[in-house]
Amino acid sequence: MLNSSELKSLLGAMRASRVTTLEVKNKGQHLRLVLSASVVPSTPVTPFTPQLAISPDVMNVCVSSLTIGTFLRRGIDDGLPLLEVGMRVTTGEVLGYVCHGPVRVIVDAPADGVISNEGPDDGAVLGLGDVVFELEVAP
Amino acid sequence: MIEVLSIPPLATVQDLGRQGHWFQGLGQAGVMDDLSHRIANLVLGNDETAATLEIPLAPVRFRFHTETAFAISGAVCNARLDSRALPAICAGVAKADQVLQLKGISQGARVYLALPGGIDVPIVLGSRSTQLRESFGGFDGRMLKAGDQLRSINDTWPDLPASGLSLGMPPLKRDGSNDIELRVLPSAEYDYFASESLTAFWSSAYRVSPASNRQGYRLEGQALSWMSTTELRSHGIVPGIIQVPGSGQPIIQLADTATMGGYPAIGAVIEPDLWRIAQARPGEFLRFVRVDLDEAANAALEQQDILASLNTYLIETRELLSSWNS
Repeated sequence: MLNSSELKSLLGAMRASRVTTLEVKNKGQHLRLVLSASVVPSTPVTPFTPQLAISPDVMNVCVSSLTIGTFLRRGIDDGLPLLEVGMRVTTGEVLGYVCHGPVRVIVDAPADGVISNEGPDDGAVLGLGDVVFELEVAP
Repeated sequence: MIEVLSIPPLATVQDLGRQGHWFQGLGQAGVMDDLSHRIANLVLGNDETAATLEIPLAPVRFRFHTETAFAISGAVCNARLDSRALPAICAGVAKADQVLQLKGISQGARVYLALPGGIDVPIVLGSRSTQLRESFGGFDGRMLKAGDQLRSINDTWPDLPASGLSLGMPPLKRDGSNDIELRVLPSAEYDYFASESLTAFWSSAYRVSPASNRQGYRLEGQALSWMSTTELRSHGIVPGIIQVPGSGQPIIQLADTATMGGYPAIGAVIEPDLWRIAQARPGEFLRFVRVDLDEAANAALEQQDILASLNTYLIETRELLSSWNS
């Protein structure tokens, strides 16, 4: 299913995005990868940077969920403006929330960039490390 | 410690009020919006009785002298930590020399700022609240001014994610309504009001007058008339009482109410809805909804449940975040 190089790349991506379990099913084959907590970095925000670049001048940075919960856009009742694709954001800017009941863990921008996807729908269930937004960032 | 760099008048240190001195003619003071105050304290792991700063006017600027957790709640106030825009309800950690700004209140009327363990001012007669009329309690018995320095009681706080936390709060207005609804119990003099006045009271909206403050909110709307010609003796009043003076325009007594009053009272806003008045701005409209004692008691229990549930979710969230990082 995967060669050793692809497996290494996938494990690196899991560490970077703090995903601890990943299952892949393809043509009857089943692969389950589990990382122990000790190899998952403890830093709260580690942007996962895929190898694919949008253009030679732009890098795509994924913004990951820090916890498990349901997604809530910013701008619904928090006094912040709604986020739109193409909007420029700055490092630390609030992009949305992952909610556990009424408690909302802020998802913030790990870098200056431009929002390049709409993000999940309100109420979408997110796991630790799930990609919430993608940012186009100048390398 | 945080320093006030600039602040308009009327910001005061408050807690849940000074209880037990009514018989001495001393009102309770305390926060106008107890729900926002409790939420700001909860998110920092403080006791709900810890003192917060009540801020009714912006713009306000504070500088953090040391790394400190903080929480804001209540009105939407265009808050920024340095250049970072913050949600209306927010808890996070500020580094030394960072500046917290509340640039302008756009929804609601009062912001609450909490620090770890509460704001450290002396306890006077069992409370840290500022008694403005009597000039004691709180921060030297007065409103805050530029140059004042506020200390937190604790210099530690519960774990917070680096990005910060926000919270959902019950909405001020019901979906689709332009008016703020307040649940009201009829008061002792209720039956002495003319029937058309009672109909107007329950069916029409009353506008919050600019002549409103911590002592009471004056309302403007259909005038209410009292049928009795008997003059009332002054009697005990409490926050939430809706008095009707000779003008026929109601006044809702609030946190800094006097302990006695002589106007007839048509009703009393139930305690779980007093926070809604505190967040009403001059020009907004209030509507009164009649409830009975059972409904009022249930409303109080519901609010307790909301806060208890919020605390449970906060603990679970902290445990989850901690488990990822252990």
